[in-house]
Amino acid sequence: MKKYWFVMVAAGMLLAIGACTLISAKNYAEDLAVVTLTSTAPNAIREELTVDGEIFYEEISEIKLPTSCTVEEVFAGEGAWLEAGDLILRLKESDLQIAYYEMLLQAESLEETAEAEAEEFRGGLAAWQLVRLREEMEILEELISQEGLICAREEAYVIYQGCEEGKRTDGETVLKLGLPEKGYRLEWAVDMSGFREFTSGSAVIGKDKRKLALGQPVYKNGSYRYSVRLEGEERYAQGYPVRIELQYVSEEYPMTIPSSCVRYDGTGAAYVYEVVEQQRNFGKEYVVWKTGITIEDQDEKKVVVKAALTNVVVRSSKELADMDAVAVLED
Amino acid sequence: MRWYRTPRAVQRGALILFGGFVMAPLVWVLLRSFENPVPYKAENFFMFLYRYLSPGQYIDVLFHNLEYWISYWNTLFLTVPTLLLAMFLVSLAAYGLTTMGDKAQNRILAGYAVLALLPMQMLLVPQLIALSNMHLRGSRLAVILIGSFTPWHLFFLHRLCRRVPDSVFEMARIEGAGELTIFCRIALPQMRMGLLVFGIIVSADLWGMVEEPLVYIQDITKYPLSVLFAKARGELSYAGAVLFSLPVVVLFLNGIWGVMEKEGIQG
Repeated sequence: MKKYWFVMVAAGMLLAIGACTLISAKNYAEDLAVVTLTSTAPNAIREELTVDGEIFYEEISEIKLPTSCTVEEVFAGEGAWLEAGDLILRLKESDLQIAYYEMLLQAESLEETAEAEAEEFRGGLAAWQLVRLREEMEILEELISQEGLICAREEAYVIYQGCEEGKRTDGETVLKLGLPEKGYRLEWAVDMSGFREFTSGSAVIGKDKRKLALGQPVYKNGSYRYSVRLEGEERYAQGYPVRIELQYVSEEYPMTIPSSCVRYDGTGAAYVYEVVEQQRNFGKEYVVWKTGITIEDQDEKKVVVKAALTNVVVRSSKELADMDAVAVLED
Repeated sequence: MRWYRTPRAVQRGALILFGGFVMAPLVWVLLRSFENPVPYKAENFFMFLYRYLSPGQYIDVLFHNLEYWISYWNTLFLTVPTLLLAMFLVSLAAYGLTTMGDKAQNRILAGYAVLALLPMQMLLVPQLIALSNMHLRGSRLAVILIGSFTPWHLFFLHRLCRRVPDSVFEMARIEGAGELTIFCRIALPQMRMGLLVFGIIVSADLWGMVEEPLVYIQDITKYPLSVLFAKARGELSYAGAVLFSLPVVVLFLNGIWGVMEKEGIQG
């Protein structure tokens, strides 16, 4: 036994070395991070912004009554579509006639004053009041001639209906009608300080997702607003929702990489991992090198860099560190 | 003139001082090899122990350093054949030299002495040219051949072989034994202890060779571990060095015990 002691020690050491080699090889393979690679490629920077907008009528017709009177019947409420000649309201005719005669008496009095004191201030004021009174009387005359009925003169959308049946009007605006014949207007207001000037934009309208190209922006009241005229036979309610899609496409940059390649260190400096091949005593090995980069421009998916980079790590199965050995996943 | 005997305490003190001086690098490497590869802040005693008494470096080298073990095998592939070939060739040469006359022996030894005195750098170029002509440049065989025959090896074994009286060889020849029989049956058993010591010394020399592989192989996949230490960092410097020297230390202790036992030297 003593004779073979040396041989046994040598054999034991060989076995130990062999075991350590096998375990190290297994651990080496398991410790490798699996990475996918990319290289710089020419590309343009794109940004997209989608906001919600609304449709407004370019022209709104407001109907005001010169006097307070009782509403006998309401034919069209808010949100109703009207054709030319459709009935909207019926006012109490007697209220209109009483108001008309009161105005007539007032007009006679104002005429006298205006004639008697034509050179005085009161005379001038009376003359001005007379003109306005006659305008109101004309409206009343028309309403009386139509037996208190208010009709739509052209195709319209009832934006505001301020009357209730059996109640008296307050003498202010009773109706606001949107006039589709005069066209529409798109409006949306959004803080776009984080978004650059768009190079193209479109509005997606309606169920059929009709697309309209948009013009350049106008800065107003701290935000950007855009207006566009809508033409066509389709009618839209006031405040109809619109999806606004804005795009910015830059010139084509010669060297861009995907944003997922870029990492940031504690100081905020950007870097990427490049894979290089190196010869080791057990064969070729892929190792990652930490390379600092300068970002010139970027969007959500791409980053514009100054230097030409090859074999940049896009994804990694593990957190990487400089000079880590990796396994490269072929696409 | 009167002689004074140095006090025993002073003798021991000097021994410890010089011994410590010689052992300091070894102790330093050994202590550093137990330092945790992760530099934890030693805030309390247990953290201190964890920082400075950790097997971390050894675990890293033993189970997570493939490059280290491939180089370890490369060292073995270079050292073992070189050692065996050297022992065979040099013992044969030493025996052959002893069979010559004294004058011839002295002349040949003088020639070897000149070769042994030549600096290695002078021999590198001619050896490299010779190996290139033999189409061996870049192969392990180049290092094995160059390493297996070194002039001073012959001096060492020749002195051992000369200790065997010529009359023993003469008797064998008279009895009708051939040169190979005399070499195998008489010369080798007589040189056995010397060969063991020779093997220990040469293996330690070969185990740490750097220049020969660098010059003759020039291929990273075949470099021994001693070359890898040139770019060693971290755990490879300390735990790796300890593990690297372990086979030589075991071989040395094993061999020395064997020699001491055979020669009847008390430990």
